[in-house]
Amino acid sequence: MLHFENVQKDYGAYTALTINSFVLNDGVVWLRGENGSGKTTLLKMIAGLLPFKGDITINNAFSIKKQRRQFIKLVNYAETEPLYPGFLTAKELVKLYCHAKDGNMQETENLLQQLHVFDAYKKPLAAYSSGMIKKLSIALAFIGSPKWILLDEPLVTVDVASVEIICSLIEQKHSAGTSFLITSHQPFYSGGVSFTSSLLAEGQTIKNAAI
Amino acid sequence: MSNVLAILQRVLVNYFYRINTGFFLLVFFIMFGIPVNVAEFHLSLADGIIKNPSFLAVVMLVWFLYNGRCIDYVVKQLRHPQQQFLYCLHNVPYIRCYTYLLFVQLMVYVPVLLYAGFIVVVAVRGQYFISAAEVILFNAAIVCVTPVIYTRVLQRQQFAHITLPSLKTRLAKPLFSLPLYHTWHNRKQMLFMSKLFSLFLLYIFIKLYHPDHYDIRPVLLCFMVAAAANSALLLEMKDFEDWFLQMQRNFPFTVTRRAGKSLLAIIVLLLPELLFVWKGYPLYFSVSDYAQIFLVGVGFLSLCYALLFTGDTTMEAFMRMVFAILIVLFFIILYNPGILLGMALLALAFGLYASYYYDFEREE
Repeated sequence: MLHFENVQKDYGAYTALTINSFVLNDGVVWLRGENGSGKTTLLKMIAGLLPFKGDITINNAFSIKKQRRQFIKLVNYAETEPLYPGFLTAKELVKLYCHAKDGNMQETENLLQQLHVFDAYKKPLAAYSSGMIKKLSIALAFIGSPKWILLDEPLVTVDVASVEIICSLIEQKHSAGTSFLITSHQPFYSGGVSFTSSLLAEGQTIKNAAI
Repeated sequence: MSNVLAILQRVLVNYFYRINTGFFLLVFFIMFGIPVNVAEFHLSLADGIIKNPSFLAVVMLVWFLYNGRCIDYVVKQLRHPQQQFLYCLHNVPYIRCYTYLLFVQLMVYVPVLLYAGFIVVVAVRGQYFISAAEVILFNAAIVCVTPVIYTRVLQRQQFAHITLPSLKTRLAKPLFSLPLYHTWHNRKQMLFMSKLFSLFLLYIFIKLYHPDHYDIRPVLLCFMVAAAANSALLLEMKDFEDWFLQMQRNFPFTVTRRAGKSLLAIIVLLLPELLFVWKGYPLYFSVSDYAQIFLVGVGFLSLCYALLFTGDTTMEAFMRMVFAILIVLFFIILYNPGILLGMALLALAFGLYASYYYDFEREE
C-alpha cells in the first residue's frame, strides 16, 4: 500500500501534481491519463527520482522522506525511454543492479533469455536497439524483492511476442506478492494482465477510475 | 549563402563555445589573469617563441592539439542525429560546401588565429621573417586542410576519424568509476586536454620554482590551479550522472555512501597530478605534506562538485564559482592553515552534498 500525504510537485511556477491524501492499495494498477497529465512525474516521485513536497509511505512503515533507503529498496522502476551508459554491457548493468538491489543474477539472466535479449548480454549497450534497451530495463525492474514495480509505458517499442511474455511476467510476480503501477496508452491484450484497479491522472491530481 | 552560414554559426560554432566556456575561461585566466604585467608577459612569450625553434614547435603542437579538439567536436556534431538536416548540404557543389565548412573552421579556430597573428606581428617587427612565415604557413595549412575532413564527413564518405585508443579490456566497472569511464570513452579530447594542461602547469612550476627553504604554500597554490583545470570534467561527470545514471537514485544507498562514491571518483581523477608533484619534489616534503596537498586538491574539487547540486548551472556560471573559490582559497592558503583546510573543504562539500542531493532536479 502506498499512502500519499500532501504531495505536491512543482516545475518552477507550474504545479504538475497535487495529491492531498490518497491511498493506493496493493494490486496491479493501471495509471491512465493524457500526455502531460503527470503520470511519469508520479512514477518518478515514487521511485525517488524527483524531489517533491509532502510525503509518501509504503505499507505504513517507511516514509520516502524519513526512511528513504528502506522505502527505495521496496520500489523498482522502469522508465519509458531508458538511458544507460553505452560503454556498459548488459551483464555489467545487471551486476550493478543486483549488487544495489540484492538481486539474483541468474534469475535476471533467465528473464533476459525469455525476452530474447540474452544473445547480446555481453555486448555494449550502444549496440542495442531501443526495443532491446526497453526489454532490459523491464528485466532490471524485476531485480530484488520489491513490493512495488513501476512500469512506465512498458509496451512501447517492444515486439508483439515480448508483450505477451511481459504480461505473463507481471502476472507471475503479482502472484508472488508484488504490486504494479503501470502506465500505458496501448491497451493490454485481453487476458494479458488482470488489472485490479485503475487510476486516472487528470487536472493535476490522481483519482480512482473504472478499469 | 548567408542563411546557411547563420545556421552553421548557431548549430556548430555557438555550441562549441558554449560547451568549452570552462576551458576558454581557464586558459584566459592563466594567460591574462595571473601575469602581473600582461603586455610584457605576452611580448616576452612571443619573443621566446620566435627566437627558439623548439619552443615554436611546442606551441605548434599545442595548436595542433587544439585543432584536434575542433575536429573531434565538428565531426561528432555532423554525425549527430540532431544535425542530420545538414546532410542537405550534400547537394550543393563541393567548393561551396567546402567554403561553408571553411567558415566553421575559421570560427572555431579563431582564438589560435588571433594569438598567431600577434606572434607574426612581433616576429615581423623584430625581423624574424622565417618564424613569421612558419607560423603563417602552419596555420594556413590547418585552416585549409581541416574543412576537407569536415566535407568528407558531411558527404558521408568513408573516413577514419581521429580518436584516442579505446580501453578494450573489460575491467570491472564499479558505480563510482562510471563517470570516469564516460570521460574516457566519450570525452577523450576534453580529458586529454585537461590533463595535459594541468600537468603542463605543474611541470612549468616544478621547473621554475626552486625553493631554498621549506614552504608548502606555493606548491599548494599551484596544485589548486592544476586541480581547477579538471573542473570542466567535473561538470561533464555530473551531466553524465544526471542523464545516464538517473537510476542510481532508485538504489537504496545512504547519502554518505553516495558522497563516498563521488569522492572516490575525484580521488582517481586527481591521482595523475599527485604522482606528478610527488616525482617533482622528492627532497623538501614529507609524506604528510603530500597528503596535505592531495587533501586540499580533493577537498577543493569535492566542494566544486557539491556546488553542482545546489542548482542547475551552466559551464560559464560553474567556472565563475570555481574561480571565486580559488581566489578565496588563495588568501586562506597564505595563512598556512595546514591539514585543517583540506578537512574543512571536505566537510563543507559533504554538508552541501547531503543537503542538496535529493532536492536537486535538472531543468530540462
